[in-house]
Amino acid sequence: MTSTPTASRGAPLRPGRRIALSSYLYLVPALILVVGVVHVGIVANIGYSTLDWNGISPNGKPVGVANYVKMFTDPTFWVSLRNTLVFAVATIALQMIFGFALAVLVRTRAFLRGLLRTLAFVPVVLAPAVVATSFRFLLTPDGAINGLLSSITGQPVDQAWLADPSTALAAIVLINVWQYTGYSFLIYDAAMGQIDHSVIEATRIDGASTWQLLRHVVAPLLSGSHLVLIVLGVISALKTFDLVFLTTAGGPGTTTQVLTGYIYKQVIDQFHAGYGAALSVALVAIALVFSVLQVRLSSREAR
Amino acid sequence: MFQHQRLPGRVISQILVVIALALLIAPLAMIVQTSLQGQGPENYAIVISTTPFLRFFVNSLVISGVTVLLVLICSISSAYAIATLRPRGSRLAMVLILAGMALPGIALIVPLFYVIQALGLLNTYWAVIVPLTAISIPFGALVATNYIRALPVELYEAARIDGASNWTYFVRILIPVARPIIAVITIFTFLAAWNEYTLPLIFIQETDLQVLTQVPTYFQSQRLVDTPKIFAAGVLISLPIVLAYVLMQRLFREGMSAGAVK
Repeated sequence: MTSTPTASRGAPLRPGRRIALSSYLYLVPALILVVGVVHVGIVANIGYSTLDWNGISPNGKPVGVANYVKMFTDPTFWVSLRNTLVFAVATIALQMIFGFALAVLVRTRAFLRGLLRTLAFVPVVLAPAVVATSFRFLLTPDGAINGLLSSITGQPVDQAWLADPSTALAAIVLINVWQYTGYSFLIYDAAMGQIDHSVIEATRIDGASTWQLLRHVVAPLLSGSHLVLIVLGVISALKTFDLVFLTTAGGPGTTTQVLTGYIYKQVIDQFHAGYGAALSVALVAIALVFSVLQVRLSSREAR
Repeated sequence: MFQHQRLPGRVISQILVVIALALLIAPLAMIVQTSLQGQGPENYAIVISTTPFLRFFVNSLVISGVTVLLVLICSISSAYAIATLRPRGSRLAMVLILAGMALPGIALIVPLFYVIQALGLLNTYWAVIVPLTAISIPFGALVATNYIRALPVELYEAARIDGASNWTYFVRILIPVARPIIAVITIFTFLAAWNEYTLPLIFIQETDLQVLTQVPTYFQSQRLVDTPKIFAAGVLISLPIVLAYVLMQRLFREGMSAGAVK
């Protein structure tokens, strides 16, 4: 085992270094694509946001921070931000409550609970573009949903759910809740499956009601799932575009406009690329906070 | 878990199960019912034969397939470097990759539109595939890194002592061992790509290159708005993915919860 110091020190060093260098090659494809599209894109956005530019001509007119000044005084920007926030809070709360309830229901002895488990997830895999287009027609004054409501209530219902400013945002929220409650259900279902049964039994023996059991034992045990669903919910709310674009396109007026839709409108419809870039920078800044949160959550659970 | 219920509890949960099923099924039933109005089942035949439906189907398949392949290559290999090889600076690489995690694609349309146009890539598959791949890699890299980190260190060390190079280990041992996470990333990415609407909407105007999610809009842009046909198209678009879900439920559940649970 005793070898000359020169041999033991010199020999493994060279292949070691070669290996270290080749290790970087495995990072290259991902880095080229992510840095090339995402990072360069974000930096370019910051540059474009200082221009008065239509997005097509090779150069725009530098205007400094004028686009940001415009953004902070643009009522539609604030409405879009508010709608995005309302959409996020409402969809997250409802999807969590209903998802939790479904996860409990499939653990009772109720008839058809297996079908419920399978069906709850079907809307999740559908394209939001298909779901949005379908509901646009189902929710018209003479659409199938009003037809069903009329026959249930016994009186004619002709509400224009998506065209009436007082119901449009709520209708969009409910479409999203219909489509994605299955996702919250899935997360709660997986987490409930890992709760130690003896904890439940002990609480039962102590005479707790089902409501007390859910409220004081099960719900607190699922705090990790609550947190994950809130973070993922905000991320998907920030990304929501198809659903709004294909149901109301932000209307009537700007009552259902969201940040993504407003960026699309400014950039693609009106060729205000410089202003659109400033709006994008705002959206990226918000999204970045939640990227960090999601990575933290996911890595913590893996360890 | 909640199986020991008294009678009132049982009745209430049974009623709630029925209500939940009704709420889930009603819109689906309405969609199918509307798709059969007018000319009945023939609506489906008309959608397939009078529109470039099959062409759109192939386009969706090509874009989704290539995106999945690229995302797999990029995320598994970067995860291998980050979790196992760990060259100096790999933590920084991970931070750079994961930064794109929650990024809405729309936030990048200004630079994308300019670059894609300047490179003459408008109306090509690449205009959709490249951005879609870039924003899908962070999730893939994250779950793959978590998976590879959880593997026993001895797996890599034993292979190296047996004389395997990093490349041999990657191809012969890691990829077969990582099959479950490859399945998860495949399903998650395929679903996102198959259902993607925004990028094709912006970057593909040529009818020949459009994808399935644009079919409903295609019908509305034609002079007559034929509602039953729009619904028939919606059902046809959804059928493959719903069928895949029903056949591979466990895999879908794992794939969709991977970003959250692990």
